[in-house]
Amino acid sequence: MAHFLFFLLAIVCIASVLGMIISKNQAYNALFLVLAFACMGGFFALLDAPFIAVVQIIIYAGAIMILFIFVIMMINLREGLPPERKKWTLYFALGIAVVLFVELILTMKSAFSSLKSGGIEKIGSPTDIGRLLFTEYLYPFEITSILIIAALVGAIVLVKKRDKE
Amino acid sequence: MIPLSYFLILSAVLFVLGAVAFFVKRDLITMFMAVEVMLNAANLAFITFAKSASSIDGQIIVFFIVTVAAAEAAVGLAIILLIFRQKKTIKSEDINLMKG
Amino acid sequence: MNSFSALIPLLIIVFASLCIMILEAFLKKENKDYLAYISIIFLVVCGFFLVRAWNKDFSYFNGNLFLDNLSLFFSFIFLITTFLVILISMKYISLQGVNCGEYYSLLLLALSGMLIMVSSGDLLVIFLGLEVLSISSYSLAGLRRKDEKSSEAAIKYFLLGCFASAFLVYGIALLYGATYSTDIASIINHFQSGESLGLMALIGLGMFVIGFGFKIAVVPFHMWTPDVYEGAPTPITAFFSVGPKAVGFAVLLRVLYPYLKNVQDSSKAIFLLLCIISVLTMVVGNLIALRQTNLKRILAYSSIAHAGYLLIAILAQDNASLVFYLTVYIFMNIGAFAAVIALGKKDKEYLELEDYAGIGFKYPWIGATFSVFLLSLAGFPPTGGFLAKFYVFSAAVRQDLVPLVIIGVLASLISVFYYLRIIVYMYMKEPSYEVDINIDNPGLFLVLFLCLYGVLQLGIFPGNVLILIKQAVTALL
Repeated sequence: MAHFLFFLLAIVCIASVLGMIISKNQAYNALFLVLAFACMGGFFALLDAPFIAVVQIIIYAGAIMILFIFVIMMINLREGLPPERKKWTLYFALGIAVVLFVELILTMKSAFSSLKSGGIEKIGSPTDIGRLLFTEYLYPFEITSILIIAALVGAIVLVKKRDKE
Repeated sequence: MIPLSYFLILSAVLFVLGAVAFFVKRDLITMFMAVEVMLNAANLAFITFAKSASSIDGQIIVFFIVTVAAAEAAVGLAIILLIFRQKKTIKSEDINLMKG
Repeated sequence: MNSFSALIPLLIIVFASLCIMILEAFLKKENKDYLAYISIIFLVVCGFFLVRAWNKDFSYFNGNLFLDNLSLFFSFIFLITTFLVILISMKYISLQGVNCGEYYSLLLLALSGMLIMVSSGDLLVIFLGLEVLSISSYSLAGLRRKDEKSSEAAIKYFLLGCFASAFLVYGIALLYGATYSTDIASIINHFQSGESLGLMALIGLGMFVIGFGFKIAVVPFHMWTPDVYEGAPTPITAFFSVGPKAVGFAVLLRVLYPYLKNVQDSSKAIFLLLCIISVLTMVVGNLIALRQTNLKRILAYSSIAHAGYLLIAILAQDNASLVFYLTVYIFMNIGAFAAVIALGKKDKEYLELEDYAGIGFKYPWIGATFSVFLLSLAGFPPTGGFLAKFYVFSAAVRQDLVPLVIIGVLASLISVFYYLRIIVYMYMKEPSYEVDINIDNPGLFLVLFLCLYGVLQLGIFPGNVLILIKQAVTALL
């Protein structure tokens, strides 16, 4: 059952990322990405991370991608689709992709044997995560508040309409 | 039980696809989406390693990465809107005022 | 020592940026200069606390945050950087129409990101600090909203910055997978013990270095640099050329120094990678700079080339010379940008080489100081730039990195051409048209003076600073 679920989600996930690469409509791209991120939530659930799975779906697929879709709606390009990239960039990208992929798989292969999936199962419940977040990870947590201030100020200062303009 | 190596391979595939999309696509929004795919691949790797270590530290790191992605999205989309207001286009080849 | 004092400098800076944002709402347009004064006051207070923490080794949050002497020294030079950038910004932003309180606020947030990065040994915290710095930088680059170049700079910086961050995160993920830790010390321990998974950790470290390579602008990850430097508001360019670069090297120092020192067998690959990057950076940066005519682009390529020399210092594992080089680099580069900013009037900047014809006689003060900064960048005695290069190259010779040093010396010979070309324009060309500047700019002249003092002091009497640096780098041993 779990195997079936994994392969189903994996195929949908990879297909929707491929769809994003092939499709030229930005709204479709965003929706493809929502699908991919929802599948990602499924993987997290399979990996005993239910809380992160929910966070992934609510924040990533929900909030962040909705932000994308809003911007796409505001931009609402009516002009024709951009022409294809020159051939060499495609080959260049594919070349880099193959090298990177082979490299990553080779490196991970060394890790496969020592990955143990048995043992004591520890499920990332909201309680555990909350406790860790406010004890061991308090400093990073406080830093995210600075990060969000920076993002808010930056976003507002870039797009707000000033009096004179 | 699904072998954890499957998840790692999937994560590598997604990371590479994200990198390819970044180079191949030509509109700024989709290029940014490609980066989000790459970040998600890293998230998947983190959760897989966390499972393998039987610890939830990796899950918490993912929590922070999601926050970072949200912050990046806010600023990035603001910059893209700014570009669109000025140029009425978001194609990457129109971003060409500076050369040399 | 576990103490709340470790957190105080960071808190002051964040508090300052929030204060400025609140005050911005109540201040009249013509009083915006007060915000600059307020930020300077906060910087001075923060500097006071940093000086007091010297030799105390405060730490907090289970050691996630620590203020050893190295982080204190770096924090202090970042404070000086921000101080100088605020001074050169004051007149500029009212002339170029970006006069808003958020400017200072974002600058201070970027500073807080740098403080976070240098005072932690945990990769997660370093990554979050880097994002605070980057996100503020993206917005700062696009702040001149009327100018299309500025928003192009912002989008280029943003997209490539995010791409680099993704590499960095994946690198951290692989390191975490190999060692089940994000703490630098335990990662290095793991490398030392030479357990399996070495390859994965190695590639993870490689991706980490590549991600930081984008931030410190080394070839071949430098594509964004000239465009971003050209498009961003000039004081912000000055900030980009020193701030993120210095903090990137500070982090690389913390990660790579113990790695290269303690891990003998597997560090060959990373060593080789860094050698190649360093050579490419020095050669390509200096060669492309030769055919630039825009001052900001020349300085951009020069800053790329300097990253190459700095990498030699990392490879030679001579921390004191790296820190000294960075200190000198901050003064000479901000000084050079200040001189570029000095030439400009309302809604107009003079950035082309031709604009500088005859400046040397018309504005002797600016011409003379600019020449000193350029000579220092090129590495002429008796300026700080010469000593910095000398220390780096001699450390490299001691470590048997002679080929690298030869390339470095040749590259800096090439660089002399384009630095001297600016001086030749300033003193030996007849101006073909009028270039008038805004003389009434006390902050900028103060910066020119301070940087001149810094460059000469570090070049002629570096003793005191060197003692401090020696004390600082003992934190790494």
